Amino acid sequence: MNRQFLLITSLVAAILSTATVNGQDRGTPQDVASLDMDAVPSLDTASIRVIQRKLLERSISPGPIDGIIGPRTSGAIRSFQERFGMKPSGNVDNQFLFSLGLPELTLNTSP
Amino acid sequence: MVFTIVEIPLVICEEYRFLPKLSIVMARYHFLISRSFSRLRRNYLTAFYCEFGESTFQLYIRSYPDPEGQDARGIDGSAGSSTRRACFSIVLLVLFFLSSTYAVHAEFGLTSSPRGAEAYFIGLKDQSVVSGKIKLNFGLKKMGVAPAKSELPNSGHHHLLIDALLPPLNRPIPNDFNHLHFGAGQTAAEVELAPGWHTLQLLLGDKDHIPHSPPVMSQVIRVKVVPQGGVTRSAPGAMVYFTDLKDGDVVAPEFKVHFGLRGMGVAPAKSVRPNSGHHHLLVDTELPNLTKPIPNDFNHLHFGSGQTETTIDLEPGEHSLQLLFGDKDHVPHNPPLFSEKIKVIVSKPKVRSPSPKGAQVYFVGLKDGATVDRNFTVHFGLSGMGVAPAGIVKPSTGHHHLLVDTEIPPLDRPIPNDFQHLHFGAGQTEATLNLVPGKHTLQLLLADSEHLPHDPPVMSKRITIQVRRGNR
Repeated sequence: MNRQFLLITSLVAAILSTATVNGQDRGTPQDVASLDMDAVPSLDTASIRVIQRKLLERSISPGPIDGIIGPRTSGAIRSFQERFGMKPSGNVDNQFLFSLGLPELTLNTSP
Repeated sequence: MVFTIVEIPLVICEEYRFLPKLSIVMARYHFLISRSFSRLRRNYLTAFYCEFGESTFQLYIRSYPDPEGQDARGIDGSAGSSTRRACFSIVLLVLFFLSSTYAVHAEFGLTSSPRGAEAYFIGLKDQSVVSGKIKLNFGLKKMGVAPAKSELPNSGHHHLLIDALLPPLNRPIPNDFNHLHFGAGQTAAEVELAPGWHTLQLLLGDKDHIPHSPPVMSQVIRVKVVPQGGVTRSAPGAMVYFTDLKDGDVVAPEFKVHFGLRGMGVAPAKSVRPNSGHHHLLVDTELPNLTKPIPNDFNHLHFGSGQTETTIDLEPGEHSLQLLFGDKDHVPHNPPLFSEKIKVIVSKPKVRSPSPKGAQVYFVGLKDGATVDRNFTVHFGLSGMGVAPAGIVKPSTGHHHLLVDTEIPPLDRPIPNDFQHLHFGAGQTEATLNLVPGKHTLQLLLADSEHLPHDPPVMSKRITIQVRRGNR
């Protein structure tokens, strides 16, 4: 009986998780292509921490992972931008977030 | 029939954005299960790590007091049920995470790229100097190349960005002279660029030419394109190079440079032999105009007699060296042949250790003009200083060197190590020699831990000895 239960629940979980792939659970930009890539979204400390960790993964040290964009973090951002052919602004703009593979953080871009 | 399910109320990973989604899934799941099965028990406590993809998720499962005071394990009556429940939760989470990573990128219309995927230029370094047409080879790590429109997972096709910033990563890569598309799956290209500095970058695009998430790209590299060179053709595949010097080598103030040449021959200047030329060594200078004769000055050394090596004397510090091949009129070939520009660090001449006043070395019991057997033992005497093996740095010490049939070597560099300059680096104070019969000269010279004679040098008088025939 337990085995049956496990089977059913895994099946349910699988269906649920695939369902969310196409689901519209969150407000995603309707048209990603129209996103202004130079715009700077507002970010919370948790998001900044994710960014700092991503930079560290690429061997660019942003200083301590503190969720604050200080001189060392913006220096790291600038050096990443320079290395990969972006305008070295030191700002966390949408293009930079896409380049780190964090498109979901661009959601807070004010229109 | 009663089932107990584990409630997973909170999956905590504050940094992760799709967590709200996880809660939604969980809520749905929870609702579904609790509706389908009549009772719900919440009584589980565990915490574990779930590593998936790019991040480590820490999962906490809270414990709730059981509303009916029953032990969790007792509900379905199976002792192993809690293990099973944990396994089940893990299966659920893994399924969720698998789908959610794709979900995030899919929502944005982006194709996910695997971790560590990277595009790169094969064999082309940043700051390279190239001439005329450049042959570029595209490398791709952890992904496959597929033509545009192909639906294969983990694949894409190359785009070469020339003198362009990274295009917006949320839409298809533009198609123009600065953004070259290789939609047929090409992995090499030949481009012709105007002389001057250019930037090159590779960016992979998916089937619709949209960069992946995270984008699979190379670092920007800068190349300097130089003109084609003079009128004399060089052989295809020919190259010049330094045979024994590498970028970053540390060298003595005076050092030897050997010139290598492949695919062509060396001929003196003015000689009209085909497929030949002579070397020029550029010291601390950029490549000159490649269509005109190479200048002749201290920065552009000519080896017009066909030399393939030279000894140069440079100031201590960093210097750049580059080889440039020239034809009979000292004009570079077409395409020009030049080596990589390498940096060498010229070390400071070593400082000789001072010797105390009155220090002297001498032969003990061996007089000038003495006659000795073929096998004989020489004893080294030293006064006013101490003996220390080579490598031990201590003031007023040194080790013996016996010079046989030779003059005093240059005192500003280490004593050579050969049959005429015998080293006694272990601190020996005597040696047994076996010399051919006849006249020989002997002299002692003390040197410091680095085999450098002291200042002033501590050396004995040069004596002449006569070696007897036979060994008696």
